[in-house]
Amino acid sequence: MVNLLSLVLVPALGAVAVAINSILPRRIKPEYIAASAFLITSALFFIGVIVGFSGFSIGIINSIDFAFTLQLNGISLPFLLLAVTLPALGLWSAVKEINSGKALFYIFYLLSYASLIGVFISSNLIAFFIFWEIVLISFFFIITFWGEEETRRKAGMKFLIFTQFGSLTLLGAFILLFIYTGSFSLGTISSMISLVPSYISYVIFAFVLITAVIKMPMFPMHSWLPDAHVSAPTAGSVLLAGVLLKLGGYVLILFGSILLSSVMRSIQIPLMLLGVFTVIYSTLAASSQTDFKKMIAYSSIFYMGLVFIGIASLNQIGESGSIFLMVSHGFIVGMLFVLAGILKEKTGTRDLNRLGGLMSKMPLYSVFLVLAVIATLGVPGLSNFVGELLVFIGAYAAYPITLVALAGVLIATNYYLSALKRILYTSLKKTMSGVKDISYADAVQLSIFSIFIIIIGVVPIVITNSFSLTI
Amino acid sequence: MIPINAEYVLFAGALLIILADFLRITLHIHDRKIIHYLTLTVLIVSFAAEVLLGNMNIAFFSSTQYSGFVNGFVLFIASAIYVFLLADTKDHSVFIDFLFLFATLGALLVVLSSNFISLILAIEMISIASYGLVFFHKTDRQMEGAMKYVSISFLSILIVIFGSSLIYGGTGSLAFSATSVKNYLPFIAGIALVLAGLAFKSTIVPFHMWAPDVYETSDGTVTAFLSSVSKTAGLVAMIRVFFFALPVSSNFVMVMFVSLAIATIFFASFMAVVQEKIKRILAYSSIAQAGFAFVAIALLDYVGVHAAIFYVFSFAVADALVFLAYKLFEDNNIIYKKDAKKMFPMSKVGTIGLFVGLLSLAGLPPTIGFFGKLLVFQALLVHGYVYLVVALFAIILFSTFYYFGLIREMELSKVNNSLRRYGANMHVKEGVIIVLTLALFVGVVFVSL
Repeated sequence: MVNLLSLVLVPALGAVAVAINSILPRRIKPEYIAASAFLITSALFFIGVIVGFSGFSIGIINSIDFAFTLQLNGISLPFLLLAVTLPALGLWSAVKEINSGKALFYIFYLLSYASLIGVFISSNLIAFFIFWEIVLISFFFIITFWGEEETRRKAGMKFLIFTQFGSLTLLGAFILLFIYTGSFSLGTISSMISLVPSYISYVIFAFVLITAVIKMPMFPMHSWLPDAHVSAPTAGSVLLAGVLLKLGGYVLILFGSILLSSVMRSIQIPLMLLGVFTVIYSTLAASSQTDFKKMIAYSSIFYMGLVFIGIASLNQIGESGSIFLMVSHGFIVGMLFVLAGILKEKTGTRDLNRLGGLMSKMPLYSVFLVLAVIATLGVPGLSNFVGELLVFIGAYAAYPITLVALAGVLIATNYYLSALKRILYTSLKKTMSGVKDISYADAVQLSIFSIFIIIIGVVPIVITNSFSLTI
Repeated sequence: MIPINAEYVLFAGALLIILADFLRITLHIHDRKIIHYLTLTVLIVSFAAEVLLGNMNIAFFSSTQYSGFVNGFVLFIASAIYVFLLADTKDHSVFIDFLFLFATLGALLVVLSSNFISLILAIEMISIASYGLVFFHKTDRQMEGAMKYVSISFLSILIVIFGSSLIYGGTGSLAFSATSVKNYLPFIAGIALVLAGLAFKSTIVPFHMWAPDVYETSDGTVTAFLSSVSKTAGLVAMIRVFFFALPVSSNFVMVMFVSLAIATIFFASFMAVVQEKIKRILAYSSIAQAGFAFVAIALLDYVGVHAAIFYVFSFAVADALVFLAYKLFEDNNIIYKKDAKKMFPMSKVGTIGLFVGLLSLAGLPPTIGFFGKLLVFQALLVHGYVYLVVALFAIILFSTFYYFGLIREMELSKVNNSLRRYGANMHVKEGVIIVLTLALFVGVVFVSL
């Protein structure tokens, strides 16, 4: 049995090691320390998947029921897979991009890694919230200090203000749960949820919904995401789109559709409409982008909209589809952001109008780009297909009208294929004549992403069997 | 019972220092270091006495259930600040030592006072000592700050005295333990006046005007003292008077308190956003923190008071930390927000201390600032103030702007290695900052008091 504590402890110790290393007279590169922390954590995770995980618990403050309790709940495992693997895969991009303040960057990167894992396995809500906030702060620093020079300060602040608002409402929901059930422990709360009066459960759900809407993000609260993505370094984008957005879906499933499903059922129609509107809106917004990274950012709002529809359908198939889609989208969007980062690195721009004909110069890159784009469009055999199918079946079972969202898939196909055309197929621009293909290290990084996408697409049962919709 | 406690130690120590200074002058010893170390010893001994055998029961002064905790952390912060002061390159006069001890003693006595007379005397003890502390370097600007402080403080204490005389008219007694209202009108007028007077001390809007100016002009260590120890005394005095002493729990009083608290938090946060000088940002943030503690006091029940006490502890430590850490940079002419990028090359420990202190003030976990806010929100929600909590969420969000706006200016990533060590005894100062930073994490064990 692998103790869950080790998954949090190893990256945290890695961060400490980087900090200590930076004040020693003879230093080793912080990348090596980070890489070994990532390797050990991933190895521990995969061993744990095979031999099983054991929980960990230590009481800290009894009067407010604050215990440091790590335990898997029904839906932890697929999210844990994302949280463990994606930041590790993004490391190579960080190695290439981060030149100043390396030690500090890896401290924040490892801290956010540890706390992202911690969020998904902590079953005490205070511990949950502490991890949640550390992710947020570390991420604020990653954007503000290592982002793109012109926009980073504004984008970082915008990210912080939006998501901090989401955190506060989540904290409000937690405190209300504590007041009425007398516990911050997830297990106790789920068994005593009937003690919460009806109107209070509406307030709690409203708080959770605001958090999810900001974090996923959904329509009125989405404007922080494109800015944050454009400004963040590539490794940060991978982390942000791959794992951070999934936190919103995670809390909505956990506290919405599992814990307060009756409340959610009573406002199901508006929720589904919100999802459908977000899907259409974000695809239209994505169609008009010329920055490749910004286009991917809007398209991840689109996928989170589909996830939202799946969760709001409140049946087994839709919810499973949402979780599946989140995992699959995590890998695909991570790969797309790495590809966008490479594009900027090799050609100096991400502007689709200034690119063209790169197929002849970057054949290996083209293979991966085409793979990623057709995967994101939901071609059968690749991972997104299963997720989208399940979500639409679930949504159809709940309210057939939600199939309007299929129009979003059509528009997405349009803009992704046109982007593909503008990057790879038109005649080569003169400025692009000196562009070189990707290195083998890049190819290895992208291949690992591809392997995950193909495995999940061909054998979807590895994901669908890994969770059950319980606490 | 052993007849010794922290207050006796401090009082005897302060007198001893005067005596020792006479001896020093008589023997023609020009080095004042020995007196300073004696002062430090007095502080540490009294801290030990408070932790080991802190209790006090004489006429006018008595221990309550939480006074041991409050006095303990007040002495801890005071000792930390004094060590920092001691490490300063510029020697200070013995008079400062004496004032420092008396101000600390006053803060302890406020917590223990059980009668309006003793309360007023204890507050005066802090105030009179603080005037001298503000006039630390005897510059013109400090003279201005001290004069503002003196005039406003006199006004506030007069209001308290007048208010307590009205309360005497309403209840027939000045003791906290035996008050039953005989005549309601003078009583409630007295409450309002005492509230106004104590609000001056604890910088509740609209009685906060002196604070930014005085904080800005004073020496960094004195600011740290005023914003943590002195303000703790003011807030605890409010708890003493309005919760333990007087039967004031009524809707009218609660609404009055809550609206003052909300006004404090909102006004101070809005003012902090537009400031350019770092010290003024910190000063306004310190005012906003007092508002958060006051909103918990306003509930006037055990849950609220418990939250308030812990909140006061959390922001007192954090305020002492940020002002001390900022003093490292203030000495090197980092005055404005835009200069903050020079901080990290100057002192890494100082920057990290300032950073963690700001996180705690902004209420982010895992620092004790988060747990303080958690308790305050819990207390508010138990009483059903959902709208109030939502309003506070909005203002916390708003305050994130100025806390993180300051943190953002530090530019931790762009460090060139021209590390300039400056001033003597940096390791001592940085040691103090490390201790206070750790206290922000370890302090969580006191949540259940």
